[in-house]
Amino acid sequence: MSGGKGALAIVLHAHLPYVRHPEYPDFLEEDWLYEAITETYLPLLEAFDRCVDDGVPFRITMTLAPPLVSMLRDELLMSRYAKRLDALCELCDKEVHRTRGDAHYGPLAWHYRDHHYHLRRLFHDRYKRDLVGAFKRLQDAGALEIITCGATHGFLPLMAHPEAVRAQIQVACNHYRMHFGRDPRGFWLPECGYAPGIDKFLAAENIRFFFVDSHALANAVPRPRRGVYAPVFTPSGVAAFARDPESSMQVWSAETGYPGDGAYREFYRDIGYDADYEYIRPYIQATGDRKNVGIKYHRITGKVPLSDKAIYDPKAAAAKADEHAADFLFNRTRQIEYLRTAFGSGGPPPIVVSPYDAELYGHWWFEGPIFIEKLIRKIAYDQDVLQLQSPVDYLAEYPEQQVAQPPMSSWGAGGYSAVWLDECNDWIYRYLHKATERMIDLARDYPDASGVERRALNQAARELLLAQSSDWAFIIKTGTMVDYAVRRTREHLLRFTRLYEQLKAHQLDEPWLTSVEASDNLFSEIDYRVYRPAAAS
Amino acid sequence: MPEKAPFPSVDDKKPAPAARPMPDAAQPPDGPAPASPPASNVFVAPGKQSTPRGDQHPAQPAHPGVPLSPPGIVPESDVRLHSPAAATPPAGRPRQDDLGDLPKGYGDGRLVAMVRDPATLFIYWDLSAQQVEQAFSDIGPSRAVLKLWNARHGAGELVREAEVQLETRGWYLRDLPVGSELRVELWAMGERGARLLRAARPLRLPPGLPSDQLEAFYVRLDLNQPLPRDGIAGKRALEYVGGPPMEWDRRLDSRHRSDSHPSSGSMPWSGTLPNRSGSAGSGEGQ
Repeated sequence: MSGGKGALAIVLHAHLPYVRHPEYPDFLEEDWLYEAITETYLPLLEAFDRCVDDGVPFRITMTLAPPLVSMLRDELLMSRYAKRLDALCELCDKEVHRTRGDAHYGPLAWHYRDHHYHLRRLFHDRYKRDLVGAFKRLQDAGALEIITCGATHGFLPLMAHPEAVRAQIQVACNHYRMHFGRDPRGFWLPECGYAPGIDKFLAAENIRFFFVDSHALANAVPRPRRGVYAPVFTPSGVAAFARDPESSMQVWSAETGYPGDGAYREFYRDIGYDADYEYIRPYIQATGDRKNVGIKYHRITGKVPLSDKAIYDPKAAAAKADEHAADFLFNRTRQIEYLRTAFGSGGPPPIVVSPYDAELYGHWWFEGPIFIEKLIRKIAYDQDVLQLQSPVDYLAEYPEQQVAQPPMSSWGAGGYSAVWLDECNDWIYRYLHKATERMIDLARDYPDASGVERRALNQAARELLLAQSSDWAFIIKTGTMVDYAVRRTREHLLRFTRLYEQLKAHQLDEPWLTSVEASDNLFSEIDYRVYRPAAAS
Repeated sequence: MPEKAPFPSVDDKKPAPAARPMPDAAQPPDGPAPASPPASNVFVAPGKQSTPRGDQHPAQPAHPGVPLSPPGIVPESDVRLHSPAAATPPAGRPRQDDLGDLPKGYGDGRLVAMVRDPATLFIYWDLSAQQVEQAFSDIGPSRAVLKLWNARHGAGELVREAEVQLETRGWYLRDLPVGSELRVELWAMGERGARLLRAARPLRLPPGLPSDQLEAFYVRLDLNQPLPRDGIAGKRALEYVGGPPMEWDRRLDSRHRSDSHPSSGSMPWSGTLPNRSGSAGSGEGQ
């Protein structure tokens, strides 16, 4: 360690399921992307760029999951996003007019107007509508370590075929190389879902590290001597870093986490629901149903009804984010000092790994990007106990680590598969397993296809990957947007099945294939032979 | 006093907490899984299903926000989450694929066991009518039985036997010995004999506890060198100065922490940074 007593690895996992519906002019679930761009990705990019511009040294690890990269580089979705941002700016103008003379809401309306106009300038002028390129520049500048993830965020421990695991990993790594111009060095296992043997497929792509939940290292064999505060090398040589429970809870906890502070912006009080219907009608769903539009005038306040929420004060909220960043850093420095003393000085210093879903910052916790930027600056200037590092930096500095085998585990509720394998969603696995078996069968039957057959085989691989997304089982389990998750699972499986049957019968419907390729258009570089039988590899 | 809202008529009924931590307790004993996909008619016709009146705040917003995990730990705002809402496509006809529906099964004689947690397996099967008929013929009054064998020491030790209803096509077996290596078999058991229908691949349940193997081996893997093709083996033990802190195992048990939602100040190193006004750093609403 070039300075300090330990390392802090902040890991932001940016992932959204692939949602793209060209068949509709407007589709509710596409809002996940648009809101995440406005509330998370643009603010985070700006925070990182501001630090780089100011010469503040930092290292953050960030997953950009392949479906998200694909969507952020999809011209249709970016065009739709640009229109959405235009509409939001227009609504902000109307709000400024509507609240003129109101001492409370008027200044807030101006605040939102300035904020969204600024984001629009960032999107078009600074980042040229290419956010992946903007993240890549931060990686090239040494500020970010961008890692990849399962191709479609499939939950790997429940895949019955090694070929399916290999495909999720290999397709993702190839996709990363295409967009970032180098090999990925780290891998975010979807849902931190690990099972012995998965590391072997990571090693085949020369991945050097991945993340597991705390209990995966606590229960590893042999018992890791430094618990979750040092990585272990799995039997393939890929390092597993574990989530630190405490720093996770400080941000994630439903009861004690920072995002629940009363000063922060209230997510659920949005003028999409509050405003007069005719007034807000042009900005809500095409069906006429209300939805969040992103202008929220109230703060969390406390455990009070939505109607009793107090008015939001951006300056007070920013001050609170600053205070929380200081508190977070204070606890990390104490933690690292304690661990350093406990470990002694004979070995590597401790590393505290703090992973979060990136969309927590900004989307759910509006002030999250401020927190991150303040934390980066405080770490750079206000202490000398810890250093921000990516796991790859730590491994470069300390290449000698303990060997251990973590058990099957995940970061979901209960720590294993219970979220993705439950009475409400277990029906999907018999179909996923059958489709995987059939895809392997196709790859065996067509060792070197060309022309329209190759297109059909590649599309079959895409449909299978899309059906495997862990988001569908997760959404079914959590009970939100269930119909959409069921629909997506079924549609991809059925499209796969049709392609399989047509390939088996040598009767391809090329016009239909073309239309499916246009809809489910991610992974242009895919090669269906990633599903070749493992024994033949 | 809260500020007066700039809009009239806000229905503030508290929505159902759909995203609360998943219940792990009170699991039923071994039992069947639904094991069937929902009916194909899952789409709600386009319309204003979530807004009874245009000027009224629906109690349960149709917009859930970006889905996040881990689901067991959610920010404060998230626990006041709304309930499910139908994903209603806007007006207009989508491309008609005429994809049909997923079959109920494939009848391919499959028996698959999957790990749900250290003590629970989910097992599903897919048998044709002919396979079932053949298995149960000539054995008299009979029943279908799942047998779990300890796979670590040969096939000698029967761990669990559970009668199942074949038509459910899936079953949860709970309270299994954590860390065990198991082989699952599906049998037709009759008064005049028994037949093995199918056997699943052996699998191993996670340990659920820290290992009692304490011997540590270390290897050096330089990043500028490719990983060894055949994996690594521990080369030598290194004795670092200093041992793990006291109560190490308990504090590393993240499940304990997640379930009990302790404050962030319970660690030996934890403290509270006083804020400018001298109150707790985590502020109000905590």
